[in-house]
Amino acid sequence: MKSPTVSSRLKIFSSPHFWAVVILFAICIVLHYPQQLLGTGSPSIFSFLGLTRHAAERILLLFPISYTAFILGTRAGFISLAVAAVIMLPRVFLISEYIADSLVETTGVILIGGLVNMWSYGYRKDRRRRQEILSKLEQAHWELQSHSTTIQEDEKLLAALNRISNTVSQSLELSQILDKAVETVADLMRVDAAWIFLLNPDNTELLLAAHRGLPEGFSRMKRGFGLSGRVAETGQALFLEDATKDPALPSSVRQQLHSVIIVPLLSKGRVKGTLGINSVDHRSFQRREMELLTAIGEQIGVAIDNARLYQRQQEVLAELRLSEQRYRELFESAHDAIWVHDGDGNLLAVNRACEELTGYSSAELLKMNIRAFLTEESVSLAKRIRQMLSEGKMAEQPYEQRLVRRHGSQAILKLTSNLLKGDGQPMAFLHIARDVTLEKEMQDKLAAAYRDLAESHQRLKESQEQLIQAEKLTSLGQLAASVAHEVNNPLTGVLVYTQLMTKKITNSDLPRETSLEYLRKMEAELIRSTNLIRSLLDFARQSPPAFRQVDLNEVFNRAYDLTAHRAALQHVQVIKELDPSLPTLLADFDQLQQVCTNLILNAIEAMPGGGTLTMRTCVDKDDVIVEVRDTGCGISPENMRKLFTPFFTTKREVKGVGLGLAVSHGIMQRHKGRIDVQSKVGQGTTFRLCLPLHAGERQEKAAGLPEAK
Amino acid sequence: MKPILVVDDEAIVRESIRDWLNEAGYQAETAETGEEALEMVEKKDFGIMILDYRLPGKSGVDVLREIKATKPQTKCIMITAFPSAKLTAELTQLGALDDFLIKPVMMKDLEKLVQDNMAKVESGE
Repeated sequence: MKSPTVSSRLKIFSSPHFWAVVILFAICIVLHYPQQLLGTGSPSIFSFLGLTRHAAERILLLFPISYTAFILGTRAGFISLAVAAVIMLPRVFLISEYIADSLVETTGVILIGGLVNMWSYGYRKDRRRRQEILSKLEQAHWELQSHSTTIQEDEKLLAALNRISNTVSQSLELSQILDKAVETVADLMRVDAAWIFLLNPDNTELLLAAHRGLPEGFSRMKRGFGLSGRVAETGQALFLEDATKDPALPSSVRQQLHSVIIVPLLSKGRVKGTLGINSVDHRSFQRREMELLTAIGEQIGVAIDNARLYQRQQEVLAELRLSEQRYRELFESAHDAIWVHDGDGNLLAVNRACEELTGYSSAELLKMNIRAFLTEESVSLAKRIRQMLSEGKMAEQPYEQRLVRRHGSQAILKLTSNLLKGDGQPMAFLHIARDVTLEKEMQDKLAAAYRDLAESHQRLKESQEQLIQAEKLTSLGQLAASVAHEVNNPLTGVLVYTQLMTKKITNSDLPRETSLEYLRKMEAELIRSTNLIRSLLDFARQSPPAFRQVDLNEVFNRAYDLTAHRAALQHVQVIKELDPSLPTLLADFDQLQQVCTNLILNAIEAMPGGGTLTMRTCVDKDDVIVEVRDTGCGISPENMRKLFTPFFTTKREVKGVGLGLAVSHGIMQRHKGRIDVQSKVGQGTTFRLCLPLHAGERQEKAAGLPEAK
Repeated sequence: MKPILVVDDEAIVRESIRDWLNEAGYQAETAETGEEALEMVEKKDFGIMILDYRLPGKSGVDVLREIKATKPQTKCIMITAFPSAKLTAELTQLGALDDFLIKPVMMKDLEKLVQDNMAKVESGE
């Protein structure tokens, strides 16, 4: 505290004003006491002006006082005043001859000096205040300038951001955005390399998405590893002023990077990737530049999100478009008519089938109300359905509805209706209609046709019955004809010989031998007739079978024994394929033997020039099969039809009566079995007897009951 | 006098008629089938043919039609066991049948038919 005072006191001696004041006081002293100091004769140097007293000398003292007061301050002014008083007072009291005058003058000078001092005080105060204001103004000006610089910088920053923003918003194609972004960042930051890594979908790896000037070998890196990997992991920006001197970095990085900033690409607080810049020359990035890059990172992050969102949106849109197109195609090309109308019945959408159905064009339909197509009856039905749908009740679908076409004709529709909702609110009604007019007509026609058919069926049945009756009569006629034929021939012989004998006896011209010959012939014919009648009676009697357990192999063998001599005579080779495990069944042994004998004889007779006869038995499911196969002449299709007709025979020359198969057929029917025939002309015939294994049991149980006629 | 041919697949019928005709002083021969009869007719000129309607192979009607085509002067007598409307219509349509007999044949009927027809044959009608 002391030293500044000392220095300021000392300082005053170095001030030229101080010395000027000293000189002025010295002059005033010399002028005030010239006689005493210079030895002059005149007490005043201003005596030549007629001034005898020291008034002027005293007034001159006001100069150093005023000077001091104005230049060196009020306090120095009062010291000067005191010095002036000291200079003047000795002359007043010691030298002056006019003490009173001198005292007044001296007092006047001191008063004026005092006033000057007071005035200088005010003046200096004013000046100081003015200076203070000025300095404040200057400071304000300086601050203003500083603000303006900041604003300019901010503007630059904003412009840069704006440029990035413009760049990244020019495209929604991600790769384009990123390419442009690295270009712009490299230009803006005036760096040698700029790059962007993006995190892969599962956020485990960073892939190089775009770069400018980045050396080879940085295409991918794991999250959490490497510079960018760490930034992606932490979400914090990274600044390396001199990477070449960082021993923690791998040599590849140290060799290729120098001054580096890497910032995260953020969107909604999530890291999407990283943005990095590198300057090959040493460079201290400013805080502002780092902030800018961080802001750019955020901008790009948002742009990436937008681009991805856009991409997803595009995909969704494309899918939507595709599905809309599909639906439209479905809607348009549907065979069924589909239309949508609002709650008031105004048509909102129709498909092509609607045009065909109604006879109106789509454009016309879209201006119409559904009421235009409905009959009064239809309107009430439509109202009821809409009411039910609106109340969420299930209407019975599809329902039938009538529609009036453009030209007045009515169509019958099978209709399915649905309520369409938008945001849970009923919006419109969708109807899908199938035109069943034709179907209906067809149904009606079909019903009518069915009625006709039923009637004609009834008539047919009646006429069939009549026909059966007629057929029975015809059969009876044929039977009668056959019987007549069979009986009339022997009868003719007998009659002729009887008449011949009568005639000869009358003429006495009948030798014994002749009459014996005639009688033998007549006897043979009568026997033949008797046999015929017996067969006929057998056929007519349809005697019920006497059931017992029968081994069909035994039946077959017995039948063969009876016919073996015939086979041998005609050089027929017989092959037996009898199943030894054949079960026995309930049957009439004699009747079945009759059938078998008949079949074997038929087979032998079909092979007059010899051949092979195969006898086979087996079990087929629930049937026992007895088969007789020959290699004979076969049966023509026309004869096949008459095969089981009584008296049908192709063996008149071997005295066939034509009852064998008819009788066999009857026997098989009584055994609940059947006879199948397969034959090829020139190749042979197979007769197959099928006897159900358990039929006999039922037969036996029913045996007690009277025979049905 | 021209011979008579008896055609019937039944031996007793053709033989008994043949025996009867021979006894009555005619010259009678027999054939079992239509085919055999046609062969014989080709070789020999028969005055009368007694023909069974129902024959195996060629029927009586077939044989009758062929005989009338080649030997129209031959008189034909058809014998049948069972005359029907169909048969009558068939024979009328042919317009060539001389007579027919129904089995069993009564000898006096046959005798009369043979006598009448033979007379026609002899007179060249």
